[in-house]
Amino acid sequence: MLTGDLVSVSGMEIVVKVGVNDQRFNRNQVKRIVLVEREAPAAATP
Amino acid sequence: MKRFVGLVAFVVVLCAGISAAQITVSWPTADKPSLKLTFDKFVQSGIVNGEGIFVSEVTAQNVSEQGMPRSVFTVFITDQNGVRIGRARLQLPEIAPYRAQKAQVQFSATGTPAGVSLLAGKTIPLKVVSVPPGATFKVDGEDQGVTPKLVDFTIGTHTIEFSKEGFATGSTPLDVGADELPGGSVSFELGGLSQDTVELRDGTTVLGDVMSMSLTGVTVRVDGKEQEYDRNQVKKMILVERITTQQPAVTQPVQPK
Repeated sequence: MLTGDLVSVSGMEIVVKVGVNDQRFNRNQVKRIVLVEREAPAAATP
Repeated sequence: MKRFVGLVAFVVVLCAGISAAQITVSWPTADKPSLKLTFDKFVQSGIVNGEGIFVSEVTAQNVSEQGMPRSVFTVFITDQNGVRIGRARLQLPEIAPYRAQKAQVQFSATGTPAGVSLLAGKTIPLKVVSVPPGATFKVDGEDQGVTPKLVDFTIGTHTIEFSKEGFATGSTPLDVGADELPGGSVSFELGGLSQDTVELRDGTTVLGDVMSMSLTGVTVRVDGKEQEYDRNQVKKMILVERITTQQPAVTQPVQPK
C-alpha cells in the first residue's frame, strides 16, 4: 500500500506525490484508490 | 321471498370472504409451548379453478426464554369437520425471547377454512463458500455475514446473493430438499469486474471507465457518456486491469520522388 497525494489518473498512468517526488505507476499496477476529502485552498489576500 | 333473502345473505357472506375469527395454535405442545401462533381471520382474495385463495395475517409470539431461530412451518388448513382442505407455508424470521413477529400465509382451499394444524419444517446446515472467500452474502435478502459460513437453511428455494469489493456481485438460487443431508456446501465463484467502480461519498456507486482524474475532478465514462465528478465527491475507486491491444503497424508507401 502506498500513501500519498494522488495527482492524476489517465488511461495509462497514475501519478502519486509521495513526499516531494512524483511517482508514476502503470495503471494496471493499481487496484484500488482511496481518496481523502480535500479542503479548497484559501483565497490569496492582497 | 324469504328463501330469496336468505340466499342473498349467504352470497354476501361468501363475497366478503371472511371466515371464522382468530385461531391460536401452540407449538410444539399446548401444555409446554415455546411459540404461540395466532392466525387472523382467513380473508378470501379470489377464486382460481374453483378453489378459494385465502390470506391470513399471523402473529408469532415467542413465549420462551430462548430465541427462536428462523423457521418454517407447513400449515394444514382444515374445515369445520377437521377435514384437510388446504396447505400453506409459513416462514418466520428469528424471534427474540418474549417477542412477537408478524407473518402472512396464503393458500388455496376447496372449502371454508375453520382450523389449522402445524408441521414444523426442519433446517439443514450447509456451508456457504465463495471463491475467493471473504464475500458478504445474503440469503433471501437477509444479511448472513461473510463466507465461508455455516447457515441453517429451511427446506425450499432460496436465493443467495454475494458481494465482495473488487468483484462483480452475483446470486444463485438454491433448492434445499427434505432429503438433503447436513454437512454439504454451496460454492459460488465471484466473477471479475469488467468496469471500474467509483464509490461516491453519498453512498452511490458508479460503474464505468475512469478516463482521467486531476486534483479537482474525476471523469468517468458511463455507457458512452462522460460524467464529471468533483474530486471530493469520490471516496474510493477500484480499477480493473486493462488489456492493451496491439495496434497493427501502419506502413506508408514510399512516395516516388
